Amino acid sequence: MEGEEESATGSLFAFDLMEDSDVPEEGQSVPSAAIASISQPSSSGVSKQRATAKGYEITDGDVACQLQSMEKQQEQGEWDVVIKDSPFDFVTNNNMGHDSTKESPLAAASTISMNETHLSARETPDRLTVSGDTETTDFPFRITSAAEVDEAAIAIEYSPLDKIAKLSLPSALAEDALGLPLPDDWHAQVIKDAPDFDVLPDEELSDTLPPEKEFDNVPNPDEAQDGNFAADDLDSANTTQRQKCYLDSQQSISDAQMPLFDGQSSEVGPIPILPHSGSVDAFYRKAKGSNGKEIILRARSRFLFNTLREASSADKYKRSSYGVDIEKIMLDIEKEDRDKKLRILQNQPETVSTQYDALFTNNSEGELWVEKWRAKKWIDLIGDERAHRTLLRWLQQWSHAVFKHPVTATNNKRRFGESNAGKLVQTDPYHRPHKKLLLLHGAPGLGKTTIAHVAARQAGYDVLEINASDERGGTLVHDKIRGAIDSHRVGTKPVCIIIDEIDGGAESGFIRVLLDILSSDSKAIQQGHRTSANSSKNKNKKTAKFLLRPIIAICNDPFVSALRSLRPLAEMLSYRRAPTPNIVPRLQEICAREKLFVDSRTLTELVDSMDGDVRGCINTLQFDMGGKRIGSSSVGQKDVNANPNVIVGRVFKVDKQFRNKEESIRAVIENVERNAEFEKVVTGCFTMYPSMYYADDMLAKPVEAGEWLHFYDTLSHSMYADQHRDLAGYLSYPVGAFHSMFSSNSNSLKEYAIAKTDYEAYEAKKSNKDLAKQVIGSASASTQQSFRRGSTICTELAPYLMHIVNPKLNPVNASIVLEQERIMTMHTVDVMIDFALKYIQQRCENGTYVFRMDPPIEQLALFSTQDKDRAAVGKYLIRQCISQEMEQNILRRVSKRNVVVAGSQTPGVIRRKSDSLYEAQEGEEDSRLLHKAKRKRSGSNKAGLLSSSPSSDRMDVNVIDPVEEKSIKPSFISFFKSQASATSTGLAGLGGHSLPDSLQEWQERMKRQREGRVWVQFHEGFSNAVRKPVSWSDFWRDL
Amino acid sequence: MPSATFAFNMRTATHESSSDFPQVLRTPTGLALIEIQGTLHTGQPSSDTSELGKLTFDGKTAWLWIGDHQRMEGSIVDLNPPFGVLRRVTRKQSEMEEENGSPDGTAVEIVEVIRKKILFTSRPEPIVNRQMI
Repeated sequence: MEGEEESATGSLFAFDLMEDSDVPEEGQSVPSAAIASISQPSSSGVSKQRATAKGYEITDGDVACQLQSMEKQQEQGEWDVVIKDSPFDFVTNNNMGHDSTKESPLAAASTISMNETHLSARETPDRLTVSGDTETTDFPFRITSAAEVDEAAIAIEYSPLDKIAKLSLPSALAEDALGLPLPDDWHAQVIKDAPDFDVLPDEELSDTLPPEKEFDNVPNPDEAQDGNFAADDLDSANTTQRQKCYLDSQQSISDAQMPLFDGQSSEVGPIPILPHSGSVDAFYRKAKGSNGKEIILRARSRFLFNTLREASSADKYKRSSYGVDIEKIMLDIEKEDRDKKLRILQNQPETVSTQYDALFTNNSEGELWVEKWRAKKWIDLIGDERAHRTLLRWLQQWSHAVFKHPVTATNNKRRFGESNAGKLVQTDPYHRPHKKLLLLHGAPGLGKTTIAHVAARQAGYDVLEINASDERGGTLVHDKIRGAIDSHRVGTKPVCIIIDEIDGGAESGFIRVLLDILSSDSKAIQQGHRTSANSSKNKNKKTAKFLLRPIIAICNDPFVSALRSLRPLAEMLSYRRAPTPNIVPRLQEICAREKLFVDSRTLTELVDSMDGDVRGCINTLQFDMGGKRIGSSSVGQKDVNANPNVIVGRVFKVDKQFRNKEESIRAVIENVERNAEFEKVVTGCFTMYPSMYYADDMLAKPVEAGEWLHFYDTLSHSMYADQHRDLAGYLSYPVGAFHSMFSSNSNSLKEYAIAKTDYEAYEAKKSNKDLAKQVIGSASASTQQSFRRGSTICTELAPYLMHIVNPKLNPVNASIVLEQERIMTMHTVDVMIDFALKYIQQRCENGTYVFRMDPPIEQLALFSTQDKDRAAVGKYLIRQCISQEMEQNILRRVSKRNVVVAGSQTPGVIRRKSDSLYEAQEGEEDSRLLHKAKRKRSGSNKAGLLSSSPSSDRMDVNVIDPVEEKSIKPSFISFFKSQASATSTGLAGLGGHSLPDSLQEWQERMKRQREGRVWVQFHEGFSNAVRKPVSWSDFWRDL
Repeated sequence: MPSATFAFNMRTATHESSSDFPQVLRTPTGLALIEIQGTLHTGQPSSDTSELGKLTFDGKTAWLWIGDHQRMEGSIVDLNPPFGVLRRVTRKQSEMEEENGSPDGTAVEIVEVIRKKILFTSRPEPIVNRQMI
C-alpha cells in the first residue's frame, strides 16, 4: 500500500459531470484506449507494474477524472484506483486517520454494477479509491470480476455530496449515443422545480447503452434510509431518456436513486466543499428517470453554499432552538431506551443501564457523589431553566464570531443589551453580544458551574476553567486567559473560558486582567469604526484586540466590592434555585443508584432545609446518610450563617412547630449560638422589645428584661475584659429569656429595622463627631482649650453658638437699621468669623433660596430650642444681611493685613516684628503707604451696609477704626504696632524725654548706618547679563 | 551713517583724565574694570560720589572691601577683546576744518584701552567692623 499512499498524497479528486452511462453488459467491450495504468504487483508488493494513465477528458471544461495509476494487488485480488487532480478540496471535520483500508465514518461508497462487474468507490478524506474484487463478498465495496476492468475505459464520476462514484463510458461512445437534443421545456421544467440544479449538457448522455443496472449496491438497507436526505433536491431532477420521454418529475421521485451514506452519516453530515480553482460548480446530484435512466445534475453556483448550509444544519430548527439539537438528544434518549429494552429482552445484566453507570461503575468508590452525579448533558440539567436558556442564548450569539455562522435574524433581534446600546451592537463587526462577559451569580451549590460547563459544551466549545481563587499573580492569569482567547488550537473546538469564583480573585488582579481585555475589545471596536471611517488607513498598526471567545464568570455575590468595576461591563445573570419538585426526583434517582433508601418526604425536607442547594443535598445524602440509615426528620442542617436580624425576628415570634415553650426556647438559643453574634442579637432584642406586643400589665417583663440585659452585659464584659471565655456558653440565655417573655404570634418584625437603627446611630455619631471637630478646629485657641471634648462641644458650645449667631433682628428694610441691631449684627459677624462659620446660599426643593450655615452646626445643637427649619428658612433676610456684612468684614481684615505687610521693607525671619518696628520709622514713604491703605479701608467701610460713620481720610496712622478695633482680637501684631507708633510719636515730638537715652542713641546710629550703608547683594548662580546688540549709530545718537 | 574722527592720542588720555572723565580704576598697567556678581546697593543714590570701599591688590588676587561689613576676593583677568574708552572732543569750527574732521564738529579720541578687569565672583564674606561693636 505504500505506493498507493505515495501517489495519493495530497491528491484531489477530479471528476466531471457526466451522464450516468450504464456499463454495458459486456464489460470487455469498453475501449481500452482510455484505460489507466494497471500494475501487477508482485506478491511481495515491492515490484509494481505501472502504466501511465491516459488522461481522460470529458467536456464541459472540467478535467475529468484522471486515473493515474491503478495498482493491482494480486495477493488480495483487489484493484485500487487512485484519482488525482481533482478540483475539489475536501474539508472535513473528520479527524480520523487517513487509512483508506479502514472504514472511516466518512468513507462513503457505493458500488456500481457494471454488468456482473462491480466497481466500488471508496472515499476517504484525501482520496478516492476504486477497488475491484472478485471473490470477496463480505466487503461490500469490492468489484467482482476485476479482470475485465482493465479493458474498460473508466470514467469515474464523483458526486461529493452523494459520495457516489460511477463508471461511465468514454465520450466517444456517449457522443454516438446522442441523437437528439433534449426538448427545451425539459430544461425549463428542471429549473422550475429544482432551481438549484441544472441539467447537464445532454451531449454527455450516453444512450447507446441499454438502460439497465442502477446504483443498487446499497450495503445495507439501514444506511440507505439514513442517507436519503436529498430527496427534495432530487425531486424534479428526473429526466427521461433522450428518447423523447418527457419528464415525469412527480412520478420519478419514488425511484430517484438515493445516494448512499454509511451508518453515521446523519451525525457527520455532508462534507463541506470548498471550491477549488474557483469553480463552484462542484455540486452534483443524480436522479433517475422513470425508466431507470440516470442523469446528473449540477448545482448552480449561487445556490451552492446555501444548499450546503442547509444540508449541514440538517434542519433550520437546529439553530433556532438555542443551539440545542433536540432531535439528536431525543434520538440519543430513544436509542438509550431501545438499548435498555433490548438488553432487558436479551436478559443482560441490568446494572449497566445508563451512561452514568457505564461511566462510573468502575471508579465509584471513594468519589464524591457531587462529582459523580454532576450533570454531564444538557438533558440532565436541573435548575433555573430561565437562566439556562439565557446563558445558552448568550453563547449562541457568539457563534458568528467563533464559528462563522451566518448571523440570523433571531440573533440580531434578541441581542443582549440591545435596549441599552443598540447602536453599539449594530456596529460590532462580529455580531457578538453587547456585553462580552457573562457574570453568573447565585447562591452556592445551585449548579452554576455545572450549567456553565454544560452550556458551553452544548454550544460547541471546549471549556477552560480557571478558578480565580486558585490563581495568583496578574501576569500569570493574563497569560492564561490571553493564551486561551487568542490561540486557535488545531483540531479542537474553540475555547470558552469559565472563571469560577471570580469574587475570590480580587486581590490577584484577576478583575484587572478581565477589565483590560474588555476595554481593549471596546477599543478595538472603536478603532474599527475609525478605520472604516478613515478608509482603513492604519490597518497595519498594532491595534487593540477583539475578544473573540466567550467568557463566563461565576460568583456567589455579584455585589462585592471587588466586582464593582466589572459589573457594568458584564451581562448579569442571576441563577436561582430550582423548585423542590424538580430536585427531589433527581435525589431519588441518586439514592436508588447508590442503594440508599430515603423516602421522598425526607428528601423534600432536605431540599427545603438546604434552600435548594443541590450540592449540599447530595453531600448530605452521601455523608450524613452514608451509613444506610433511614432518614429521620432531623436531616442535616446546613450551617447557615443566618442574619442576626432574622434571629431577632424569631425571638419575638412564636414558632408553631414546637410543641412546648421549652423546646421553642431551646431552638432559639441554639440559633443564637450557631450564629454567635451575640452582641448584635442582644442589641436587636433590646432595640425591638418596646415595640413588641406582649401581655404584661405590671411592667414586670421590662424589668426582668433589664435584669437579663444586665446579666448579659456583666457576662460579656467579664468575657472580653477579663478573658473569661468560659462564660461564652451563657451568653445566649438572655435571648432565650427574651423569647420566653416577649414572643407572640402577632409580632412581626421588619428585618432591617434593627440593623438600621444601630447603623444609623453609628453613622450619625461619626458625622457629628467630625462636625464638632471641624467647628472647634477653626475656632480660636482659647476656645479650643475650653471645649476639648466632642460632647462638651455638642452640649455647651453649639447650642449657645447657635443662639448667638441667630440674633433677634427685625428684617425690615436693610438700610434702616437701629444702632442696637447694627451692634448685634457686627457681633454676630465677629463670632461667625472667629468660628469660621459661613452662610451658603442654597436652593430648596420648592425653589426658594435659603442661607445655610456651613459647617452646619444646627446638627450639633441638640438642645437648641430653635427649630432647624425656622433657622434656615425664616430668617432669610437676616442671614443675607449677616452674610454680606461678613464678606465686607473679611475684606476689611484682609486689607488691614495688607497694611501691615506693606509696611515691611526688610526681609527677615521675624518679619512682623521688624514690620511693626520699622513701620513708624520708615519715614514718609511708609506713612504714605499706610494712609493709602487707610483710604482704601474707609472706602470699603462706606460701601458696607451697616458701616460705622465714615472715617476721615486724614486719619492718623495710629488711630484705628473703632469697628476694626473691636473686630480684631488684641493680637501680637497690634500690640507691636501700638508700641511702634508710640515710639514714632516720641520721635516726632523730638522730645526724647519720653524715651530712654540708650534707645535714642541706638536709633540715631541705626539711622546713620542706614544712610551710609553700602553693600553688595550677591547673586549666586545666575547672571542678569543680557547680550544686546548695539549699533554704531546708537553710540553717536546723543553726540 | 554717522562718522567721527578718531584721534589716537595717548598723551592726552594719560594726562587729563582727572576732571571730565568718569572715574575709571587706574592700575599701574592702565585703566581697569571691576566686575561684581551682584547688585551694589548704596544708601544715598542721589549723591554724586560715594565711597564704596577699598580695593587692595596682591599680585593676581584683589580684595574689595565694600561698606563696613563685606569683603570680596577677586582676581585680575584679561579682557578679550579689550575695551576702548572713547572721549568725544568738541573743537572750534576752524580747528575742525583744519583737521578735516566731520562736519558736525564731533571728534572722538581714544582715551584708554582697558585690557584687564578685576573679577569678583565669590560671595562677599561678612566681616565685623570694629565700629559696630
